[in-house]
Amino acid sequence: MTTDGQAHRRRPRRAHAAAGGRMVVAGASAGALLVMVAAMAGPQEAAPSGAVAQPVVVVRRSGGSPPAVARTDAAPVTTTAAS
Amino acid sequence: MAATARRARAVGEERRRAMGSDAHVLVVTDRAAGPAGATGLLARAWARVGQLEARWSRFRPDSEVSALNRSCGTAVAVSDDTFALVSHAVAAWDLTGGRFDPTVGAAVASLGYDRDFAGVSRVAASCPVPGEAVPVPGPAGIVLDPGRSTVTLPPGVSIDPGGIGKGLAADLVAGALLDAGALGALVNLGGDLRAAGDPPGVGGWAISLPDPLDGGRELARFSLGQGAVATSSRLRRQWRTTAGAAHHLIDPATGRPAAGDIVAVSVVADRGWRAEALTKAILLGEPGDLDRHPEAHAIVVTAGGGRYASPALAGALR
Repeated sequence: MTTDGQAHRRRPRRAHAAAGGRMVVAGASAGALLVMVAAMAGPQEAAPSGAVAQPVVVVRRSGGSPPAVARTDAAPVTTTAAS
Repeated sequence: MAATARRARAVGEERRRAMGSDAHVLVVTDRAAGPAGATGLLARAWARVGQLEARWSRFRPDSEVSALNRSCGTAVAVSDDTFALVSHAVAAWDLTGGRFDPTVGAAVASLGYDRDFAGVSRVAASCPVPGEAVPVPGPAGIVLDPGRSTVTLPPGVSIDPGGIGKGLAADLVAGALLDAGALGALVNLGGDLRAAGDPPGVGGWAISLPDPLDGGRELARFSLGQGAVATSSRLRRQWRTTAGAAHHLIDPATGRPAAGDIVAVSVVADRGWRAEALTKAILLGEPGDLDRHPEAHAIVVTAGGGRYASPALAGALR
């Protein structure tokens, strides 16, 4: 097991994943990559087959380009607000 | 349930209360499946939302999150859902440089928000709050073991799934609906929304954001093909304490409700959990921080009524 020391608010420290990727200390970041489980966010999140032993997959840290949005005057299908 | 015709497609929708919020689920189906197709998918969606709420609510003593918060440094075996929740919460902390922090559980509970919100205002006003802020320890000491599917929280660390739980739930439920045969789905859980698959029309899903300073007015309206929208506001979930007014958005740096000029933030990103995390990062910053997150679009509202928007959303402001 690896450890990453104490919490550092606003300045998360670099990641350390144990050899083999079986044990992960959360709070750890690995640059652009984070190690997570496969089931977390649907099929879009799954890594390419064979990239990492199951059930661990690699998820990109940021989403790259933002979703396409456009101005519309169409009647809204849903209204969303903080609750 | 309403049905809208567009070629060979139909849209089913239903609103309910879920996760302590107003929720709205829409599914796009093949019209040949008939009404039963949408009805079955909606039932599946609500069942999944209920399952996630049962696992993640910090107000249910039998939830997995409550078990984690009581674990005091021992490893707890959890479901894949809860393992994913903690993993994503830590990823969000990393993504936001610590501005989103899932370990605000003790801090927000110390202010009286230790039960379903409906009961908070009734009780918190008469319960003393600590003179000193409860520190937010940060998630660096959390241990995730995917091989054993266990999570270990260090002693003194408790997590508040809060908004990221709703954002991730919207992601998971939308994905489950597509897996179950929906052509498209939109899952809106109290301000955390995920759209996946085919929208109901060629223009995409039309999304409306109310003005947080005047709920009777519309702040913005835009169309979204696929992606997520999250909104956080410190004008919601407010209550009185013996030390004054409080709200649920804790600044990890102080352990107190966030102050500052920004009162509400809406973010459009690829995933619900990510959009939710970025709302917190921007809410604790300055309007100019919008430029720090090129992977998302955002709209910011300040206490004085100022409105700031990423270029892609500027035209959506009403």
